[in-house]
Amino acid sequence: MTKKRKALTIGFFYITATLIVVIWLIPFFIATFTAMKSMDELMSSRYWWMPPQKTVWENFSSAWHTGNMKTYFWNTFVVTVPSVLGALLFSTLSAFALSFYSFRLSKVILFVFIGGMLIPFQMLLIPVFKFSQTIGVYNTHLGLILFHIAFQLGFCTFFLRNFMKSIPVSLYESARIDGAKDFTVYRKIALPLSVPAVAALGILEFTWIWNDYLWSLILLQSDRLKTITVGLVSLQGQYVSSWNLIAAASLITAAVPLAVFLIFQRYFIEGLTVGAVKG
Amino acid sequence: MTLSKKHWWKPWAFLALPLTMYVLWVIWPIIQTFGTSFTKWDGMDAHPIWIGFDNFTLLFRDATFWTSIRNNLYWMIFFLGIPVPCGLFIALLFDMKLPGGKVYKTLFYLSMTLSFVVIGQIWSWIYQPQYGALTSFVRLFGFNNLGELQQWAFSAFCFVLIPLLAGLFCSKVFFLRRQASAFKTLWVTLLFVAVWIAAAQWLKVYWNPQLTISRIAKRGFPWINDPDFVTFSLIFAAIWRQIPYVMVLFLAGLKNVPPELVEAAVVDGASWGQRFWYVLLPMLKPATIVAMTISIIDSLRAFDIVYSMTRGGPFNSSNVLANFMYIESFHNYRMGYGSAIAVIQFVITFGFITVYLNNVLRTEANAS
Repeated sequence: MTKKRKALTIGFFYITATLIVVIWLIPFFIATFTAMKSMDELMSSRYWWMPPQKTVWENFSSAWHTGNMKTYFWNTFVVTVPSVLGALLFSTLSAFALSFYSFRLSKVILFVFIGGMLIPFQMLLIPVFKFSQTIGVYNTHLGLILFHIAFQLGFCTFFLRNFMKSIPVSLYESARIDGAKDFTVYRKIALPLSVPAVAALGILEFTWIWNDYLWSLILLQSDRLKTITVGLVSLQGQYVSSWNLIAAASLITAAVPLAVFLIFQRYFIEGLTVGAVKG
Repeated sequence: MTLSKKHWWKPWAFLALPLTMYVLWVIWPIIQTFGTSFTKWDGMDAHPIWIGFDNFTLLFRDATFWTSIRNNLYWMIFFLGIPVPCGLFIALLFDMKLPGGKVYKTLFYLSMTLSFVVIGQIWSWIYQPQYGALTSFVRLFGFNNLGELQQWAFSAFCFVLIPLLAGLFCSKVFFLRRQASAFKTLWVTLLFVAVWIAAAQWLKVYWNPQLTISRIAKRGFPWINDPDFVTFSLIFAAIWRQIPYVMVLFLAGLKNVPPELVEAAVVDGASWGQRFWYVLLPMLKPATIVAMTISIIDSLRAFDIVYSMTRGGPFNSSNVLANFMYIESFHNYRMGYGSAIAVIQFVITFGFITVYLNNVLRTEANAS
């Protein structure tokens, strides 16, 4: 490649990439600007996408306290953390069974797990709603957690099985020659070796469960139990014209997944590409 | 490892807990929904009434159902037509690995981490009729109301986009390869028919005085309150999140392209376009299949953004199957009818799930 062409290519990259990224971030800027405007300024301005003339931080605190975002925020933590841990723990068991042993139904079970994660959620809504009522976990965080664990098992098993398949068989065999029981192989070899995959998976699962809307809508009823996405929508219903308050609440909702992504970006992207599917 | 007869139970000991949960909360409900779809049930009654296929015959006569199908089709077409090519282009761009490229990538990914509910909120003030960003942007180009924009977009679609696509496709089929097959001939014929229909539609709509009057009657920019625009507005908000995701899939595919292959093509004097068509694109075929099936499956289960922004309104114009099912089952307590909608949704999705599983099976076979 000639020098001139190389310079041209580099120029093309930076100009196009900058343009794309700036266009992509415009909605974020608009949301932030709106969240920092006072109601007076918002009502008098003709252009909602302009930066605020006077920056105001009160919207965040009033969304947090008056808008009750603090309750929703902690509820979401209470739901998300056990769901992620449970899904990870159970799926290491099933992934181990499907990767360590070869038995006749193993492919079928794997396909049941993968197929289940791709079906439209509407197929599950009514029976899961009814089942939760029957076993008495409707309108409790436990009911939501149990459902998230069960449903996410599909993707987690698929993901971890693929990873565990790549663990060299010789490692398992040497342990077995030393007389280790199967459960010891799982606990002492498969589990420690899968830690990077489990971490990547955990981060993905965390953002997905945090962002879930439909299942909190179906399985929770009381306002004090609502998770943050459902809370945000009901807040919007209450404060229809307070765009600045809603904008602040939206940013609070987005803050946790954004932070998780920025800190663990490498794992996040690796997780997405290994599984190449989302729930 | 293979098991002796005596130890057949060992994998099941590991599977017991996870599989039980999965069956209880996922597999069994799927079967139950099939059952419920043949009943009339308000969700409270202990005994649903068996009514056979009545829910389905009722459904096929329901106008809202056909609106939902049409909108789901729009979602599917746009999810294939925009995120897949754009994701591929941007992936190729970011694959150049220049200094600072990582920062660009990170910033571009941000929208992917957001919940659809948050995306709905953010976009609803971009779509604000009077002072929103989109309105200001469109006004820059001299449009005074949505009717004018609609007319312009429709003309552009008929006379620029469709002929352009047809031309591109024909040139590829006839001039690059010169091998005619029944399949290709069918495609070209279909494209010509599409151009013809679009042109005829344009003539019909453009010179229909009644419709022109209703266009002029459109006041201002009610993006998500206008039945003609609402679905597209929702789809574009969703695409904002979908493109980075598709791009991740393509970047992963690009990692599997051996650099020697591209270098060899450069040495042989291949142009940029030739490298793309004959080297990169064939190598990216598996990634493209995954990106397309995932996009279709996602488009068919679009719910959060529709329900949180419009609940399917105004006048059901933005309804999709997922939202229709939710409203019928949980607002109108017609659980049998809702289950029938879910079954239809499942049947449509099932074909694409099979394509995806088939793809997994093939990678499986290659790996072992």
